[in-house]
Amino acid sequence: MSVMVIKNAQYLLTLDQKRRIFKDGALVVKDDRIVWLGKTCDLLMDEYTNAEIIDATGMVVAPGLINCHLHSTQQLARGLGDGLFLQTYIHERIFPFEAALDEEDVHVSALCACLEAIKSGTTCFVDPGGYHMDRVARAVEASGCRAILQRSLVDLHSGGSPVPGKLKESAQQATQAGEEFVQQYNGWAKGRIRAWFSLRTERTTSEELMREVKRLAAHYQVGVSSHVSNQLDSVERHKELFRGLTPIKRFHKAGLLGKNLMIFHANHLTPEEIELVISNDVKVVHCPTSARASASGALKAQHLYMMKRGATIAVATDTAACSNTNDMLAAMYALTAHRDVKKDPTVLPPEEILEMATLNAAKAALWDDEIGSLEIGKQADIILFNTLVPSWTPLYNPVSTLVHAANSDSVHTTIVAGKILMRNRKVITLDEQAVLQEGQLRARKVAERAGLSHIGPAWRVV
Amino acid sequence: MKLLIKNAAYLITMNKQREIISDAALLVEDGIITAIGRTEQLGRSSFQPDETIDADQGIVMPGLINAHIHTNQQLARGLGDGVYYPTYTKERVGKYEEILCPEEAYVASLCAGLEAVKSGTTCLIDTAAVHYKQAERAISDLGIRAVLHKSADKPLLEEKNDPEAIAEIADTVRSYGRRKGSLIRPGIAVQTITAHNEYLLQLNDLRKQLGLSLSVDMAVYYTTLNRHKELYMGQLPMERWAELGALSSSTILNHLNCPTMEDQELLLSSGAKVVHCLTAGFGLGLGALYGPHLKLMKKGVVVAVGTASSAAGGSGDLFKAAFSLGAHRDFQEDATLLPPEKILEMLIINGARCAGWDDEIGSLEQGKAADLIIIKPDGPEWIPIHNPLSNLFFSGSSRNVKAVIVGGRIIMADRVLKTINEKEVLEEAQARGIALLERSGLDQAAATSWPIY
Repeated sequence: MSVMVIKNAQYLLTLDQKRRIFKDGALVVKDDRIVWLGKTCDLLMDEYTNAEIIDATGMVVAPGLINCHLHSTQQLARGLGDGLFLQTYIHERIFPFEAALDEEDVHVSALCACLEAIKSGTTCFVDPGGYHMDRVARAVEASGCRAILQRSLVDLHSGGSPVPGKLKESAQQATQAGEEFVQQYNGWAKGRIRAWFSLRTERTTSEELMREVKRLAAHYQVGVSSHVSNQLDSVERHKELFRGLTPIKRFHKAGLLGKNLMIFHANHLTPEEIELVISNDVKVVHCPTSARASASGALKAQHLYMMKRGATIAVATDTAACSNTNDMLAAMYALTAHRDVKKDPTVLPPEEILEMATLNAAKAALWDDEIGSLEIGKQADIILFNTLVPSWTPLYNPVSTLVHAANSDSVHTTIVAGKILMRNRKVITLDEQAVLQEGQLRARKVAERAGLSHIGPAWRVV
Repeated sequence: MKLLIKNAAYLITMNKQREIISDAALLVEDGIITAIGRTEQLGRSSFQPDETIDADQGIVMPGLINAHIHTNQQLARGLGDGVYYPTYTKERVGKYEEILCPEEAYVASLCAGLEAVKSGTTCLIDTAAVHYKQAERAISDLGIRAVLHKSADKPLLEEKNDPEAIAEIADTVRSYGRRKGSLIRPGIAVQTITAHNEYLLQLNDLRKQLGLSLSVDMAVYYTTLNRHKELYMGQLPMERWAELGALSSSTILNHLNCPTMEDQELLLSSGAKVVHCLTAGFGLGLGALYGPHLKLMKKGVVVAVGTASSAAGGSGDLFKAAFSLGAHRDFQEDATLLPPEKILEMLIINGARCAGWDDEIGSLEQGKAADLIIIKPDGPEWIPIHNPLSNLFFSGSSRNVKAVIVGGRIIMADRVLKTINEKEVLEEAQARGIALLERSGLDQAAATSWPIY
């Protein structure tokens, strides 16, 4: 049995039920679980003689951040969505790019995504689905991250959202592939990896596929996710294709709504759909940074209202392709724009924003019994921030400073399931330089194959 | 002193043609750029540098310019959390500034400058330094460039003290007056409400006489406009300022979140500069996303970017401010707004114009001052690079700023400050900040709502 003691933390943010913060905090981990936490002066070191000690002097200790929407298979497409509205981005950039990825590209893409996650304090992410997901599973396993992985299931490709030929399949084929993936990968990597069913978007899913996925998810006791109503024209096209029905209404008709459904974006819901989301305990993932690139109108959407009504709202980054970043601190900071839009400084205090990236995200991932807070018995997914840097100085309020001023380079240590993945900003589980070098080479080759190698600055390079 | 910077994968010149030079090098002699070209070519020239910096395939670009910052307020970080603008100005930063002593002000300004340098900022437009001398000393010690505006704020309607106040301001700005080669220039900062007509006229005369800029927080929030109308017979500040001749190309309007259409017309005809402080809007719920900044920019107005105060929004990092500008795309539902090239212009050239210093800074060209930064595009957030300009602010962060050079002098190399001891400054700032909060009774205002054990 291995024991790790973290002590002398300037602040330890538990995010437990009372949201306790310990000054001069300490925490003890046995194997993958937290067995004790409190103030360093109350720590009985005699009990942990052979423990690995982490001195957290001058540091803030917090639960690892949970990114409920991270396309690890799009990591090599960074910035390809710049300056484009959503539909153009999807059809002219990201679908061609994804279709051009081979298995090895996907593996490297996922490794790069895990590196960005680890280095910015993300300990767990939900990948909304792609192809060659078995390679993603292997990358995540090697990185030491925790994740929910899904294979994209698409069975409609007429009119609404023409996916590239390579990615087409029938409802039956999709269901089978999805089930095989869940059977193999749910509970993989000592339980760090879980597998769900991913319906790619509202328009690429038949009602038959929805019903099948609903049945199988109940059988395997896993979740289902889908992109929904990202932009207004996603909704309009959906209505054209499905007899005037809005997406959530059609989901409802197919019986898909429920507490194990996670929907991404949800920027353009009707009042009736909002009620359906709330009453069915559907989990909603708000992606403020990707909404910027594709001009979704997320700042005017009703996420905060739904949260007030008791819905679980998590915050996430989405994809390097059009969020441009997978840094959760950037996504959390982006939420503060809501105050400006509402002209109300009292909305979204930093405490609520931190909850959206930890507690709410754990709930949305159906994993809140194990992660999302630092409590005895929970998994040891922990991050340490170095506060002796200008952005953390002066430090009066650790939560406000974490949300408003901190940069991800102040993440000093990242721990998942009791294992140190990064210490003093050095990633231990992966060879960072080698992975990134290969990522760069492959990214340019994929862009070439996808006909996207012309993307670059608008200014002349001489 | 001769400096050679070589092996830049890209050198973003921001010259008129906006050329980006690949495999670039740059020569500096006594603080001035003397040549820009390929590494291969300049490395072989007869120029014998005293010092060589290997950019190691990084990006060399002009330093960022923070066009609105209150350096004196750096120890007030987060004091504006959760309160509306009137409470913020009176009970939070107002109270803080009242209590701030000169030594604390020095540390605050130094700490603000430190955050600026570490995030690639080479020039600050500091507005309304209450403790002017301390701000000046801190920025000098740090070695960066600044326009420091002396606060001309005084209690409302104390007209009898006008001559005294003016004399003091004149004294201060004259003693720090434009000296050749000096990295610090003075200016005058005014508040719309407290500067009554006569006082404003005198300040404006002084400004003209000395060739300085006039900085003012304008149309930040509707409450200040209402108060102004109550005090000045229904007039809005822009209208009154225009009438008094205080709107000119040397006027810097900070925030400008809620001007009327008439205000915007006055602005267009005056040539005044605007500083968009979006992150302060995020902090205080000011409605900056509703502001006319992008429209004005389209019409030719110079719009730069500022972080305002660490009390309002918490961060003085221009990379965060640049990243935040993306919110306009979401809010205006237009994906084509503010491409990275436009954001670079706002943060660099427009900042230089705001500072009235664009003859010397704002681009990397022969004859201009060597105010530049080196970006090391390393780490997972920078990979892959399809468009380096996009990665710069949308994927990367201030962490990627490896070196900062101002007027040819190396201020930071490998993220280590050369001019001050960073650790000592941070430790002193923390200790002084805590003491100040306790003394002022503002410690509760800064506290988290969660229980601390």
